[in-house]
Amino acid sequence: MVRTPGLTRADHEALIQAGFGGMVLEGAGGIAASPVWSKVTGQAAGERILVIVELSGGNDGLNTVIPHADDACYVARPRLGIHKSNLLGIDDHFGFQRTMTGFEKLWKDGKMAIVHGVGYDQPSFSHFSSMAFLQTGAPNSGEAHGWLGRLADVIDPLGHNANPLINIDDHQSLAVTAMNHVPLVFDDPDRFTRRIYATLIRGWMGHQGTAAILNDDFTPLPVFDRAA
Amino acid sequence: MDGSGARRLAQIDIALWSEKAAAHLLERVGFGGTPGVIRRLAAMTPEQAVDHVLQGASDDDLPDFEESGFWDPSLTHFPPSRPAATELAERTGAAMGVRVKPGGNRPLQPVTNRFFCWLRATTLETRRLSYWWLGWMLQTRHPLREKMALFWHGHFATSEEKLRDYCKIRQQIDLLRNGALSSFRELLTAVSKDSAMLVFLDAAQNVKGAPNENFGREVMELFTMGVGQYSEHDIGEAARAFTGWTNDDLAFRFDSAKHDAGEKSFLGRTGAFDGDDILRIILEHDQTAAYVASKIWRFFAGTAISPDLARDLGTLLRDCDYEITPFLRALFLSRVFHSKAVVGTHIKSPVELIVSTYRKLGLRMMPGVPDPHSVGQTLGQILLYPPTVAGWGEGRAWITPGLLFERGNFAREAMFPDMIGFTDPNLDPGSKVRRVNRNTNAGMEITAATLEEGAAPSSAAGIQETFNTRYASLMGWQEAMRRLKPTPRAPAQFSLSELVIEDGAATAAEAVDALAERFLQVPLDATTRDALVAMLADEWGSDSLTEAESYMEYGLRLVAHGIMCAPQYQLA
Repeated sequence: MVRTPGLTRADHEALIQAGFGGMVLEGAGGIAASPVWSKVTGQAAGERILVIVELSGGNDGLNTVIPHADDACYVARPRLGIHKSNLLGIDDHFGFQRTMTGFEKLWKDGKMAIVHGVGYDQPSFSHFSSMAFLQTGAPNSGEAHGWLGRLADVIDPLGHNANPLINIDDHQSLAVTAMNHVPLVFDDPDRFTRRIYATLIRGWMGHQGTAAILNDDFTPLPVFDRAA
Repeated sequence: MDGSGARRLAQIDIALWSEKAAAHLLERVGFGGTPGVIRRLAAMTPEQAVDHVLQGASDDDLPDFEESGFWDPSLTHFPPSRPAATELAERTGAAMGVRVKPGGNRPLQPVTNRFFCWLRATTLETRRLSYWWLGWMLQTRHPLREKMALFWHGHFATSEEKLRDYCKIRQQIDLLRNGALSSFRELLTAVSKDSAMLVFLDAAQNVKGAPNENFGREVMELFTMGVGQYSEHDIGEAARAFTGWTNDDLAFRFDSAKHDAGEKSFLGRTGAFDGDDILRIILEHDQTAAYVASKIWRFFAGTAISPDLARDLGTLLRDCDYEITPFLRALFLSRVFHSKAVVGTHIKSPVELIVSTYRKLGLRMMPGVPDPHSVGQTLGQILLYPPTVAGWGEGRAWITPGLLFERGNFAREAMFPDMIGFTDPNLDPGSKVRRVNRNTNAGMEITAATLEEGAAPSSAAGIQETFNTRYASLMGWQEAMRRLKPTPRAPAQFSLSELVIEDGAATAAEAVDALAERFLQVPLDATTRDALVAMLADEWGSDSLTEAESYMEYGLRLVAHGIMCAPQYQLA
């Protein structure tokens, strides 16, 4: 964590005001306690956050949620098919692969919904194209923006909400690329901080140098737009 | 080339050749220049300057990579997993040159120790290899060669993680560096038959009757033509043609018994094609030159490329018969390469950022503090470990809010190396191994020492294990660390004071401007520049450099850190 020994209370407040909340984190309180979060999302207590988890790599969907009542499955998979006796039943038609007890509990508690058959016609066998198509939700279209990016653009076309898109990873996913929003991307909230000596902060802050780093909603400076 | 092609790759006007243009050239063909080098290049004609960077000068005095000496022939055919290793030992009495103990406790322990030792050793040695290559990039008198090798490394992207063998990745990198500026035609064949690529894309699993399409697909999608230029059927036929290609440790071997010699139809042609035929047909395709030329353009010039320019670059590469040197010569001399859309618009990759920062500081040795491997990991580019066979992303992919902070943090560690806080990541096996180490040092018996944290000792009573994995991991780490040649942990040795005095600065403002001039291709905005000047004068307690001369270094390093945090510093 950044230690800022030379700052007075007033300096501290002024820094947060000027948008340097990310620099004055104290303690390693994790996401919920981090001033970064409360500042950047402007989230009131009780507001909902949609969390999307993207798993990379291949998954065999038909052996994850198994359509055990469908003979076509076993005809197509004489060796791979998982039989009714060897899975966790959901209903007359489907069942979970037998180690998915956690999901089974969520399902029984009414906290889970399953969407079957997500895909698109004539799927590309290029790993990289397929990933891109699933992240844009618009296969073979040349769409440059992600499905979450377009969602944010529709809900908030003028960008009134600070940082509706947060992407926790070491690189930005195509899924959050949007027309009217710059996603907030970082890998580790405890490391999402600028390590900087007090003298430099004071120097910048004292001379209105906030433009030198980032805008207070973490959008890059205009120089990047020119370079794009 | 038709008329419009000739115009688009028209040469830069000699009247526009300047120190700015020379500095731009140096940023792109290598890792940036210092004022003396820039001036020398600017004094030449554009052709002389480009020829100079294309040829470079000799690096005979730079040291070759010195191995720690881990590998020996008993590690050939290294088992794919620990269970495979112990099963092999049980079956045959030995594995990896180590015998099963005829008596005593844990008869398979020495074999298991050997397995883990190699895993750790090859990882640590690969880090040393990347440190060595970075050091070469820093000091080389032929930076274009290393820059082009870096391009090929991202293009024919192969990660040591899957290879589990530093010898193979070293051989591949040597191949890429030696052939970097020669012929794409030759490089494509050489890389495809090199053991690193053969292992990485599963050549040995591609056999007659059971083709594995991994290489067949990626060689077209990523290395030559780009997605959409061929059908799934073409991929299948290519895979059949590549059957029989395999490796014997570091050497290519063709296994004719595994080769499908039947007739194939590929990209509209028919014949009993083998792998060499497939590569030849791919190279004859127009799209190949266009795809590769465009990718080279994006690496050196910028991410924007019009369809006309892509077509013209493809024609140029084809006219050069895939020879890289004449292709680059035309590219670096072109008007468009020096145009406003290109100059100062390239976002430096992490490797470019690290090496160019150190080159501009005039360093003679790659610093070991901060640890370059760790910096690469934090910034999103680990040399010799590309995330996938598609290599790394380009341009804006390098910048996220988090990554922008981390680039600034790297700058701070470069300006103010934290010797007190530094711990050597090559000597860090992780907390689980440390716990086992503490326990065994305290005299605990192996079973007890390696229990899960919090497990009751009685849970292991009576167990007669033939080997203990956690203990093997500990033994493997210790052995690997003992034999690893140490990476020098000297921080950067430089003096910003000397640089600004050399530039004739006499005031805080002149010092700030001098540093900005040296480090930036895109100028700071006035607000930031003024803030830094005020901050420096404040830190010096004076506006005069002479008054602050005996202690001015610290303030200058604060300014440099500030400059390097700026978005402008990420641009070349």
